[in-house]
Amino acid sequence: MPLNIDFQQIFLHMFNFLLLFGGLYFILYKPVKDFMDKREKHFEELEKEVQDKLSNAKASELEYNEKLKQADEEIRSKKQEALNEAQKIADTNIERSKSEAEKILAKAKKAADAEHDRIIEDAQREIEELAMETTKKIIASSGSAAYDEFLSATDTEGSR
Amino acid sequence: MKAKKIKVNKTALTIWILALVLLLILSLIIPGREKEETIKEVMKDGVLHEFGRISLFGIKDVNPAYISSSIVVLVLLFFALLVRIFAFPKFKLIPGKFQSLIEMAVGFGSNLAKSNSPHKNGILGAYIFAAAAYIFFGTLFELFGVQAVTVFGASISLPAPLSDINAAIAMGVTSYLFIMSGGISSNGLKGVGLTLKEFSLPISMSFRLFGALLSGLLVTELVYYWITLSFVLPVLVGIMFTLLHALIQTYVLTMLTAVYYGEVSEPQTKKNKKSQPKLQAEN
Repeated sequence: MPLNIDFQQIFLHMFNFLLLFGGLYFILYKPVKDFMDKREKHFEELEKEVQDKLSNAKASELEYNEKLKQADEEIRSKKQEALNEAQKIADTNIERSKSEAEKILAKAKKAADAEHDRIIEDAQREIEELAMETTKKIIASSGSAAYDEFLSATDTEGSR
Repeated sequence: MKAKKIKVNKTALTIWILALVLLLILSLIIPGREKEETIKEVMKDGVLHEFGRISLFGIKDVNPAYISSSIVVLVLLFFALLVRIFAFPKFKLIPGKFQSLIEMAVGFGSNLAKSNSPHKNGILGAYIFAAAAYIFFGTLFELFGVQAVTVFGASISLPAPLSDINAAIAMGVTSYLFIMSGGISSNGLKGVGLTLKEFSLPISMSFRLFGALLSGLLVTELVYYWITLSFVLPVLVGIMFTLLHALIQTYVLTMLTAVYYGEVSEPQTKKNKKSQPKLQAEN
């Protein structure tokens, strides 16, 4: 054969290589590959677990935020309600105070009017008494003519 | 303390230089052995192995590369067995240096198989792993200069297994048959057809390996033939070139096997469906 090609030696070399292939496959490649695959699977599971936990945490965070939002909303509405209620109460109180104030004012006015009338009446009476007194004194001092003149003047004034 | 360290280094350096000079003078003064073969004969024997044959347990005379191949296979299997018995049970989830090295080697085969043959790659990874180990360590084997005695009583240094054309053909044909097995298991008779389409593959694979390894061998033979070239130069030619083409040939053959295996083991029905829209888009 050209180039010293020898089929027997080719088969011997093939035998050697197949022996190496099979031996390495069973002794080294397969166990190491299985180990690597198992480790990869282990880390994948760990990663999945971490991802699950992360997604759970995110879901919890979302839920918490939602609840927080709802609580805020509730607090705001309650606050608003309380404000409205307080406003209402304040309005009622103001209204009541106003009406009471009006009543007090009316009462005071009435009392003031009555007092005014009374004072004027008293003043008139006092004036009358004073006038009578004065008149009596004048009459007593100046005689009956002046008294008559005064009486006629008083009558005239009274008829008017 | 620093001064003492420098003194020691200087002494060692002086001894080293003196030894080098002495050996150089001796090797130049002392006459070498008369050359028994001409360079033509050495080169021819390097290619054909017609004379430097070795007896295989008295059964048959074989090329020295077969003895190299057997030694490489036995050493690799023994190493694998040691790893399996002593190191593998201590493997941890977070690997140490040695575990990383072993996993890197296994990962090389597995990843190359996965990336080039995504449809079917279980056994391909193992094949790539074994072929890579065989080619890489087989090529590095020539660096150790293991001696053997030929049938004529001469001492020779065992070459790399694949520098023998029979070993290269065996490797190329085995790879081709392995590719064909992938085609058959995935596509049945279609797979055989697909593999046969690449009929030149075993020849190209075999001769590529043979040519690459042989060229390294011939250059080394040429360099060692002349004693004046045996200083410094073998460091480059012998070690650097060997390391380089060990890596290159390992990568080339494993890559070719993976690519062709992936091609023939790809399910055909899916391929047709996939390729139609592409063609339409291109048009």
